Amino acid sequence: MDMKLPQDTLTIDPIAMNVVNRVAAGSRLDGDLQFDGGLLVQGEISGQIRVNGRLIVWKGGIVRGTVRVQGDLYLFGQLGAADASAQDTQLECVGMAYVAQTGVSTGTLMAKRLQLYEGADLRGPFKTLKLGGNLPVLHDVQSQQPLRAPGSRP
Amino acid sequence: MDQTDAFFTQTVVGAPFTALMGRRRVPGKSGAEGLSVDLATGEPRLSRVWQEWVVLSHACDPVGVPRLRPGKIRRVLERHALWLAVLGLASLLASAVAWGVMQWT
Repeated sequence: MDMKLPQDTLTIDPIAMNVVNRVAAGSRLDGDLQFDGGLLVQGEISGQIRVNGRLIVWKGGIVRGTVRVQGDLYLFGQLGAADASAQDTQLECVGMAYVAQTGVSTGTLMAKRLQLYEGADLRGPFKTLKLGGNLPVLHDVQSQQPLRAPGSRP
Repeated sequence: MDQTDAFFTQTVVGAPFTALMGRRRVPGKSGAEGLSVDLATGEPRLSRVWQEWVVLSHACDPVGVPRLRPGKIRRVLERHALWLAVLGLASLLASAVAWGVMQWT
């Protein structure tokens, strides 16, 4: 008997997930970008991008360039341009990459773990991110804050 | 995140919403799934399949982790829960009245 698996849903709670940034539909950002906290992309974003949190690429949203995500990736939209090669877009995800049924990836996707859903279009390669290479470096995590002894006053 | 941050986050990014991910592409797995034991702590807990069906509240679910979409019957029941409750109370009330009338006559 061939039973169909039930579908999955994801509750996106921006506050609980700390998704504090949003690129709205119709907006376009390009350049060397850094986001503190999660990012919801409904428009278009490209360049050297670093997201210190979760990245949600919504339906209609496009992400291109070199991207590093310090959390999970939820791909409902598009990663990489439609006719571009896999080298044009490279995304490195420290957490888990979820590619939903509407998600399309033409770029190179690197993640610690991958969850694919039926209908997901993975055209580019996927590479498993090794744990050794992505250990956080102290100056990387606390680049803006000086180190203080515990209990000391600022 | 303080109240001001939460307010602006909700204003700019939006209110919580649920998105449909689709059907998981998974390798074949064994049919039986009961309790799973955490090898680190030794704590037994319900496996994912049971969690989805038994646990009614998802308030304590881990953030950002997809869960199984409830079945059709459960969705219908949840959508019309208020009317079902009203119907139940009305039936109870009607039964009580009918019983009272029968006792009185």
